[in-house]
Amino acid sequence: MAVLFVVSAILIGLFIFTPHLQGARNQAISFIAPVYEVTNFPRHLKTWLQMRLMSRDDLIKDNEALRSELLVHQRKLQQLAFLTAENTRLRQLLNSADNINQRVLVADLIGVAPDPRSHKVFINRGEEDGLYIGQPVVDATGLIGQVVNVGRANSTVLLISDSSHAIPVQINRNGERLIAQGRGSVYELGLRHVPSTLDIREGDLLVSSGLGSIYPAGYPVATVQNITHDPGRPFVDVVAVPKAQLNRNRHVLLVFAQELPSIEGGL
Amino acid sequence: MALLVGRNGWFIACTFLALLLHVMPLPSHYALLRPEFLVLLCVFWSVYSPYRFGVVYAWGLGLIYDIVVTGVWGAHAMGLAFIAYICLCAYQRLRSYQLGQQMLWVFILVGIHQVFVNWVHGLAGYHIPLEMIILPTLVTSLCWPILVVILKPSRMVWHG
Repeated sequence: MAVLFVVSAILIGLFIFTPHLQGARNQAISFIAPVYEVTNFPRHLKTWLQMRLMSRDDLIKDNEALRSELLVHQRKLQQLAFLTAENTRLRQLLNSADNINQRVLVADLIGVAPDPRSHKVFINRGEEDGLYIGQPVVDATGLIGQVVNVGRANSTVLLISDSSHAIPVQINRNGERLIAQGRGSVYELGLRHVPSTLDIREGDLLVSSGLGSIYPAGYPVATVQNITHDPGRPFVDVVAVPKAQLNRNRHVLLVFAQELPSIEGGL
Repeated sequence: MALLVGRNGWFIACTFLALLLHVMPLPSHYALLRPEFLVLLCVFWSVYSPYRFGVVYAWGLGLIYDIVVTGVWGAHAMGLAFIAYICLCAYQRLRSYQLGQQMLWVFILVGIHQVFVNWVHGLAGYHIPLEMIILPTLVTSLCWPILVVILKPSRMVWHG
């Protein structure tokens, strides 16, 4: 018993305070991925059935909805080409590199870590696909998190809502820089050290600021939901709602932010 | 040899099933209500199969659990080994209790396990609200009678 206690204490210490177990943790993902695959089977079955057993009316309705959505996006895209060109010109004027275009890779979610304390998900991409630790993960609406362990064909993603995670953000309206920290709930993030004189309003969009060189700048992170001024406290308590659908995603996008831009642009 | 594999096969199958139940996707609102199946199994085996099951087994199970749920490695291992140790010291007394009294014991044992695991996660920088300790403990102890009813007749498979 005493031996086990010592071994456990050493293991816990190594795990928390040193990076020595990182290699073993990366290896372990390959072993645990099958367990999550098995528990995912009912969901796969459900999606498969939904795809096969859709009524014709529903398909037509879906098709129409998608067409109209496509039209809206295409209209926006027309403007985007113009804006991108303008942006490039302005950046050339400023002599700064164009880093908007980044290569992305689509990954499927294969499981969610069951522990309510930690917010981690597993995806079906790994070292074989060129993933690296610290790689940003986004979905259609905003930032999801970063890759923390890379296995051979699977990896673990730490969500921005995990209470051990914080991300440098800025208010899109005025560029004020802040830190958004996870609070252990997928529905809210907290902002750290917000002075009571800061110009922040409910509904403000927070985007990643690119500081800390993990997340690329400009991805939407959260919307400010609630601001509580308490005169007895040094800082304002600000609650923000993540833009990304942290608990609903099936597919996520991996952004290759470390690569040089303009080698491979777009999706 | 075949018999040995068969017996251990039962042990492995139960462990694997418990792990599957642990990682079964649940909506985040209900994740707190998930019973700690592996802790229950450890308590059950320590009480009803003390000659087959030991602290090292419990430690190994805990380590597998830690790895599968990507928690801090060694946290569940240590917690499970500790409660297995208590159960092995007191298995004769625990066996003679009624189900209700056993549930109370299980509540305390799972509570010890939860407090330890949450303390280690606290070291790793996680913020842990109190209900995250109490709710799983309560649900787990309520599941104890079900586990006893299901597993008690199957003891002989492992004992041989």
